[in-house]
Amino acid sequence: MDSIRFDEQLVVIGQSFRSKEEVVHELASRLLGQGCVLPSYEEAVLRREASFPTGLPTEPICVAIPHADPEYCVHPALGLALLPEPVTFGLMGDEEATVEASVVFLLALKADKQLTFLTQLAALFQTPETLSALASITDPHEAAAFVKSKVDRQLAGGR
Amino acid sequence: MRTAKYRIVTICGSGVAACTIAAQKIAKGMAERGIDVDVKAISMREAGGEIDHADLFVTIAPGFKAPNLAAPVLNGVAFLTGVGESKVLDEIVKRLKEKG
Repeated sequence: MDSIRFDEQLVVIGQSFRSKEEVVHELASRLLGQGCVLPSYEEAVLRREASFPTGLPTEPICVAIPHADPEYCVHPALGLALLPEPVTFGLMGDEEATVEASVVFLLALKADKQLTFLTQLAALFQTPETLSALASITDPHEAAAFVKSKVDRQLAGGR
Repeated sequence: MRTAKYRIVTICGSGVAACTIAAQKIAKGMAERGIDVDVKAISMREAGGEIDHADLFVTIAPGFKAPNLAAPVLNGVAFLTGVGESKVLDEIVKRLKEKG
């Protein structure tokens, strides 16, 4: 079973970004560096974000789950950014409203994995205590281990 | 309350993940509330014939407009955030009952 790649190299913590474009660029570059996505993936994510924004007003902090259509995914992978300063994402399902997201999950998934994975990931960020605990982690290795412990069965370490 | 099933359609960008999660939660929530429904998840792109007979829409895609005014459109982001889910479920029940 080809599992979803996720390790500390795909985790960004403590770095400040001025915009969602900058966060997506940083995470997408890492996914590209590991051969998980096509070079056009980053642009596809931002294009999709413009039509179907992914910011979610979760509690106690907001998350965003930017992604592209499955054809841009070479090997399923997950990128994660824990931001000291939130960046603005459009609110999912809305044409104008925005949310200030402090946790960003960049998803590169094949069509068959999307639903099960997103269901498990949603269970993580829908639980306020779990989301707070994740946001307070300062070590990428620890953050990767924490997410894996919550979203088990599918995530595997990278190279 | 009528005997036929109510038809609910959830709509999102891809028609795969987000609206399927919403659909599953709505199906469960309606079962718990004793309302018989058939829930389908579709993408904005597919939003064609499938939706002509829907009784109610729950959208996670911006800019979705119902094809007929008789079918209310509710926002389903609560099913992704987990915040205010039961409020939306209760609103769905209320709107369906209004339809008779």
